Amino acid sequence: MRVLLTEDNQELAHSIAHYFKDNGHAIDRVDSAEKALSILNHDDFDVLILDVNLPGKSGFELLSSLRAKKNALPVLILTARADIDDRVSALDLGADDYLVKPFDLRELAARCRALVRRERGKSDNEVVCGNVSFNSATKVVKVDQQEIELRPRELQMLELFITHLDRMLTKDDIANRLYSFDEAYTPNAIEQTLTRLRKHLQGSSLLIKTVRGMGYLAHVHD
Amino acid sequence: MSMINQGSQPTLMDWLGRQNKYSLRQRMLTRTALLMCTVLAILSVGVWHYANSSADYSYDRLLSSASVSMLDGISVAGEQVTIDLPYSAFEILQLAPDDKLFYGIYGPKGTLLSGYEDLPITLKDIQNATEQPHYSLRHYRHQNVRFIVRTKRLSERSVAGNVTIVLGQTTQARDAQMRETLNAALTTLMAVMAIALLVMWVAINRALAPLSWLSTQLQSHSAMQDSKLPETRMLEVAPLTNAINNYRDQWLDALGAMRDFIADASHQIRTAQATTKAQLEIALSSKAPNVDQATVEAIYQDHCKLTRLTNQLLAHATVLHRGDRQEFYPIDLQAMLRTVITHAVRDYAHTDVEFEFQAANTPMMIHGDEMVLKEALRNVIDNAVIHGCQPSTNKLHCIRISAACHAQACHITIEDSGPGILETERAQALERFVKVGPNQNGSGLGLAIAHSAALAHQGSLVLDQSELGGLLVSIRLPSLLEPHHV
Repeated sequence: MRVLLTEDNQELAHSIAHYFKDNGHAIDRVDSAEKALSILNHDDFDVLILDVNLPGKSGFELLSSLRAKKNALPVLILTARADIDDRVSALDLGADDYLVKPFDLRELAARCRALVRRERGKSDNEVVCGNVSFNSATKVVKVDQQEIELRPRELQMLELFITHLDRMLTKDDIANRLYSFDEAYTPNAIEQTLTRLRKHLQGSSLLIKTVRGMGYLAHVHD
Repeated sequence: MSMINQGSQPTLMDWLGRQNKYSLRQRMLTRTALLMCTVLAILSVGVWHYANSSADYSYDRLLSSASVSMLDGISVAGEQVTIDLPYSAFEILQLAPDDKLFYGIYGPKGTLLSGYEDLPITLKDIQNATEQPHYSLRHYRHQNVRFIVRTKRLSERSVAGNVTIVLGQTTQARDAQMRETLNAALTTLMAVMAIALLVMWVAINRALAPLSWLSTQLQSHSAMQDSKLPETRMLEVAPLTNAINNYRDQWLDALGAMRDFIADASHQIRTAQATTKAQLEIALSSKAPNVDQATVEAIYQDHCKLTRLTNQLLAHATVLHRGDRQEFYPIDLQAMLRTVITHAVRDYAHTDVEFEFQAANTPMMIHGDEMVLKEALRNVIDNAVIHGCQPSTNKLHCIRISAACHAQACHITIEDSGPGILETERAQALERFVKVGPNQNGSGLGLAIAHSAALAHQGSLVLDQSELGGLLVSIRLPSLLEPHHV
């Protein structure tokens, strides 16, 4: 993936760029919103990592001018203020995600990948979550490049989880997706499907957690 | 902390603020003086009128008596009207020695019998005087003259009709008396006003004295000093000094808490920093060309601890600060719990921790600060994750979060299956930087943050033994809903 990093702290920018390059991503870095805007005008990126506190124009201003131009580039905001207001305003202005400093580089990379995945999922048929890949057109699932056989219900469930990563899904949410109105189902049936799906995904980076009393949450740990 | 924007251009508000400054003393005195001047002007008109009419009254009586005695000197002898002006008439008028006299006596047919022929008296004046004497002020021979017109009916056979006497006197004595009365009255009035203003001045100064006393008292003490303003016997000033004392106490309390916090925080952060620095120095001074992976891992772990400590310290400061501000709004507690749990499940998805949520079957609304509560809950959950697992046993690590509402209060309980905290150590565990139990990896702040947050919301936090085997943290918060809804 191709990343544009807008961060005025040279040391932090250097470390982030270093880490992304080591992991095989193309990353360009600039230290002001003005430079970022001029680069974005003639280059395409998969994701923009944006610091809020920048000299000159702030990250928020850059973000709102991007969104005003109908630019749908995924934006991840970096903020030092762990205050709820900051996060809310960032998301209101059209940021796709945020991270509070200090953060883990692995976490930052994972969040960027998730954003790119979400964006690709809209256009491409193939979604890659860590070492799991899923093609929504051919319904082929691969773990570590090895194709695995899934039953239709398991496939449907996997597709539901992959399109709702990091979100809590209740048993009803899943049942509505897996069964039509006239199909009778038991909560147990869902549990059984999930158990089988988990068995297939064992050793992959896609984790499906059960939270008793709330539902299920899928998370990519890579 | 300083938010003062030094060196900035003065704003319009600053300018207006300066323009509107005024002296209370000056303003009150000016206004009183203006009011008194108005009263003085109105009174002066009244006094002038009174002086004028009283002078007229006295001198008109002289004119009247003189004219009566002159009329007495008019008689009919045969067919002739004879006039014998009595000496007493002029004797009366001599009371105003500097004034000139003019007179004219007219017969029944209007013929001038005696006196000046050019007196400025009209026929109308004479007609007006048939019933009672008629007075009028006229300008005659370059001076003001007061005239009286009086008639006497003669009813002799030979001479029948009205004889009219016109008597005039210049107004020098009359004006002098008027001026004298006016001066005396005005002098008294002005003296009274001056005294009133003086009394006002003294009264205003006395009334404002407590203000300057307060300023001196406040200036002579530093705001940081723990000394109260002295007791005052002035009933009106006592509430103000009490308010200032209270204000100062609150300020000092907050400062004290801040001081303790900074002392604790700097100690903790410096210790953690020293550890990391020492490890880095060892790594740097090592003879080996490549740094051992294990050393880097150790440094990384310590740095993570330092980061968590800093985050928690700042979170604690925020919780205390926002709790003090008490900017609360209604919060749906269950929805908030679901968000916090979803985030926790996501962040701990790679671990073996199993989460469980037992929702309440009634709505749970409270009045609070969502950020503070989220921070508190997240810290308790983090604590449960860190301290709740027992590596020795193969037991499943489980964290149960439950919500319930009873007796006008919302209860949130977070339980874990870890070793728990001994009953004797529980009270201690809520204190800042106190670490209890076998796992000493935490910062000792998690429960303190949650405790402060609960207290800021007029709630409480209690530690107990969980049926899962580990610690049970119960947070009670006052409910916003009426009991019959609960």
